[in-house]
Amino acid sequence: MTEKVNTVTNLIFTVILVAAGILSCFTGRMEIAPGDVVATIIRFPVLLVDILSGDYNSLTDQERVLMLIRFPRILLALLVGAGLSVSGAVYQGLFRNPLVSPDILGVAAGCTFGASVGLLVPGSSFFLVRFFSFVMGLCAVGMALAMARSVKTSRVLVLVLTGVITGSLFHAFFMIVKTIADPLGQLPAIVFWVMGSLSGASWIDTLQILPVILVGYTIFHLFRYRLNVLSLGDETAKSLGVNPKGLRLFLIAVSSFMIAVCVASCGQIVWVGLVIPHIVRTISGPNHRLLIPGSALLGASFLLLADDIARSALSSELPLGVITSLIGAPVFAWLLYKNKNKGWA
Amino acid sequence: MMGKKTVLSCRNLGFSYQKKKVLENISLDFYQGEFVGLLGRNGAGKSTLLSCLCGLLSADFDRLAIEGIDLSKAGRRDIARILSFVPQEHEDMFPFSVLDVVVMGRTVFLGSFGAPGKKDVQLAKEVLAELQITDLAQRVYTSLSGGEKQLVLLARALVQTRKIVLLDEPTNHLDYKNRYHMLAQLKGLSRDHGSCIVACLHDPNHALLFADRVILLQEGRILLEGRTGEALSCDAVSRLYGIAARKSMDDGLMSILPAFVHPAFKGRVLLLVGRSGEGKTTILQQAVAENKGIRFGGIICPGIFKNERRYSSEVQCLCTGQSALLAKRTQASGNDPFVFYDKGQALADKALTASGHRESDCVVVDEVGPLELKGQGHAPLLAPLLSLEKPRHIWAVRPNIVDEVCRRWMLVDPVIVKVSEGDALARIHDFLFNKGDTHA
Repeated sequence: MTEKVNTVTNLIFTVILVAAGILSCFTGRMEIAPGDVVATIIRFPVLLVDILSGDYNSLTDQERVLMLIRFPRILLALLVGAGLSVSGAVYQGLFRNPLVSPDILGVAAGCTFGASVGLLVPGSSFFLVRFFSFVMGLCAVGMALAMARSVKTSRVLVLVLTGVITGSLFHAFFMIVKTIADPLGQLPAIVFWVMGSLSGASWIDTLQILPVILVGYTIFHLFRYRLNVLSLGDETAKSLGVNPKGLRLFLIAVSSFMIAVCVASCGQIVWVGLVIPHIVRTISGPNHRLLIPGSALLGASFLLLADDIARSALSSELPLGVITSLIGAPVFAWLLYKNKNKGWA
Repeated sequence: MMGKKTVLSCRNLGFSYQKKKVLENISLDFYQGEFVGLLGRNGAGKSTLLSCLCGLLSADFDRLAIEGIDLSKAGRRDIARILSFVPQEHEDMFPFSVLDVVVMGRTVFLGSFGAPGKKDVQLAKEVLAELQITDLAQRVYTSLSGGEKQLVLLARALVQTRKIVLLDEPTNHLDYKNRYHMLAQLKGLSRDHGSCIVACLHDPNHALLFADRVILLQEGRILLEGRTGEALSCDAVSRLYGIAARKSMDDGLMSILPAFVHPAFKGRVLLLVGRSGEGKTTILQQAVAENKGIRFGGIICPGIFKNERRYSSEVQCLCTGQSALLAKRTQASGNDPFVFYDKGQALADKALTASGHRESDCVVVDEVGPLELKGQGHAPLLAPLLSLEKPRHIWAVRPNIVDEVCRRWMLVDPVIVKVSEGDALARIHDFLFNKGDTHA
């Protein structure tokens, strides 16, 4: 009975997503008529091939804005939003703690450090920045996992603590980079990168992220019932016939990979991975069968709308991380208040 | 149980936690269709044993097999299809609905990517109905009371499998009705479904009423195991828990209650109080010599004194008259400790074993000292002695530990006689012949 009600909520999330997508096509400096949008969407495959083969001349101005700026940016926002919030949902389930966010294992700190190093290298390309960021993010998680392994207790708490350790270690590295950075050129770049933005979105980025998010999501979707069992704790999972260790490590690896890709491509966007799974859990319950798709849908819409605000609220673009914090923090406070009698979850 | 199929067996199972041995040398067999009660003090290793038996903790063993499957080679899936485990309810989780929690018992029958279907939900509902908790189905698990949670966890285990069900203190947090409801359900499972039920129980009376067999666990070792009626004697219960317990029969129903609640237990113990060397043993010897009509048992420990302190101690069995050296100091002075001798200790243990004193009139223990308060020395034998209905008891005690001794063995209105008082012998005589006894 409740299951049906909750499938309806996922339907509503889908409607919100579509609405947000349509709204985003019209958000921006240039006014574009609905007819042009429809026309561009119809011609989409042809135009995409043109763009990827470097032939920009055949495009109209409207098509150019939509195809080169808005569409890749919309898609990137959807992918990053879905990726972050689904990873958040998975992490919260694995760590049996609704207050865990995807960067609990130090991924974000590692990524930030990597990116700052990338920005410090003279004449480095954007590609190099992302590559450094991605690699350092995975290094941080790897370190946290290795440390937890050598402690030799299977307790999840140890993993959280080692995550805190690597997180603060990489944060310290990041601080060192900041102090030695050139205060006129490099430092502002680092600061803006950390605040997160989708403004650099291109088709190349978007198409790089796409397979990672799709594969990652598919894995989570397949294992979503297992996540319920893992969220009961190791002992119960074992007695119900599931060996938690291998599966947990695998899921952590997958979500860390997703987060590293997201953070590497658009900086640290906070709160999405913490608040969105929370909202979904409050609405449709803790069952991961609904929580995983629900988090993906709502996370995607949330980041898309946040990005719309970021690019249209002021004449200059606001950092995306600022918008997600400004929305996420009060929402989280409200959830805290609303769930006060239900215990945490 | 002969002829019934063994479903779970272990040989020489042991488990250490941080170099401390929690379980040692456990060899057990569990059969189809029996309800086994696991009894023991807090911290005796009951929960650990259950966790080891289902492979949640990795124990050392020569052999551990579930239905012929070697547990050291079996995967969790193999085990979970045959054996389910009901933990204590304290596990915290997300606010799943009760139905969700119960359906999760089906996990082992689903593929890695599978989710429970209609049949699984239907089965879960049937089990909820069987346990009479259908009305909880849509409630949120985390909002339930401890007792309700316990029943839900049992439902989850039954949805999983009924072949072997291990339960860690299933009656915890349950109210009077639910406690018996739970136990009766478990009994029914073993009787009607051929399930093998192994449960930690706290109350020996529950074991008496429901368990076919009991295993008494003491400090990680098996103290005793056997069919409930035979194994669960007053002596065993007293020894196991360190509190004197007595049986009573009512309409053919046996129950075990602590001795101190029995009115007849009042004033059955005389504490002969005196400092070291003040003459406790001498007075006891005189009392035994003067009261020939009384059948004495137990021990007195005459000793040699050097430099105004006990140098050596002999033990004398009052039944047989045998004596042996119990302990001796290494030096005549200084703070050197006693060295104990096996022969003397064996004699003392034999002389104080409760089963030898069913017909004794008076059991003398010389003495109940600091060692006993630490649970060593004669301590394990004292509770079983107190559980006997016939004999009175005379314990020699030092003045500074009288209160502690009374509390530790829950003595009710003990007769306290000081060695320094002139009429000590006369008062012992009165005690032995019931004089001054309020309800004689």
